[in-house]
Amino acid sequence: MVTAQTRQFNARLEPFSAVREFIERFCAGAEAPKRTGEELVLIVDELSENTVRHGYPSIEGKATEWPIWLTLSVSGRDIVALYEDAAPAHNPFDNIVPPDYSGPAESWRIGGWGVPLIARIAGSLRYEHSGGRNRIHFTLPIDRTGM
Amino acid sequence: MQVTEQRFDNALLLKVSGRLDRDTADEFKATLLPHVEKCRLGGDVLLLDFSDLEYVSSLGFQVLLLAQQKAKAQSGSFGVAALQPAVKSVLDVANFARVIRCFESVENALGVMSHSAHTAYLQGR
Repeated sequence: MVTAQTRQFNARLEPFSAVREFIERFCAGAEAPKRTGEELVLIVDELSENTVRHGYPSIEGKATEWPIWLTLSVSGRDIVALYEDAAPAHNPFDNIVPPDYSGPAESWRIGGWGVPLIARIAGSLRYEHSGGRNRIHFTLPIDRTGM
Repeated sequence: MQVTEQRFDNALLLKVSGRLDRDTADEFKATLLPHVEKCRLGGDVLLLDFSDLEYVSSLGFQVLLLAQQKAKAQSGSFGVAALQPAVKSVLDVANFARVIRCFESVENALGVMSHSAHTAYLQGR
């Protein structure tokens, strides 16, 4: 039985490797397949990049602390994840428009793939804003039999 | 993340190992872009060997797109080879192969991109 675990990180000061190690330890305890662990790392990598690039820098006067919280638990045959930050309320999944590369190379938008990646990989993706936090809930399968 | 260089005639092969994520994307960009400057018509063919690349996030993808954009503007020849399944599945979401030339192996890539580099590669193995 794997118990739920929550860790707070400072997205401005701590390297992403600290978050990755937390995820990898949890996934090992949950006996999740390697692919599930890799996808969980990728989703949290993309979410925290959004927090660092767009969330906290948009606060007037600039915040000195950039906390993110990650809660991982197991429900049935899924890993259930909750990612939180205290940046201004923003639902990144409101209007997902992947970049378009059909035009000439000089017109390409470099960036913008994080959110489409998350939306493609995460299960039961849900956003809410409560208690002063952006909260993003999602799941990933532990049992990939038949996938 | 580590990048090692090997030259085969007019082709520069950069072997990228480890992880391309928030911690390493800037370093990768700083390493790659000076080589992209030389990737132009009559200049270097530039090939990235991803056989030891374990992970890429959208930040790594951005660096690759930037490199492709610059190389294309200079009429240079740029590509990636030997993508591992975990990396390929991420890049496939972004239809990566539509914008950057992807090859199954370094040998296969050089065979298409530069005859002289391909010959040098086979001789050097």
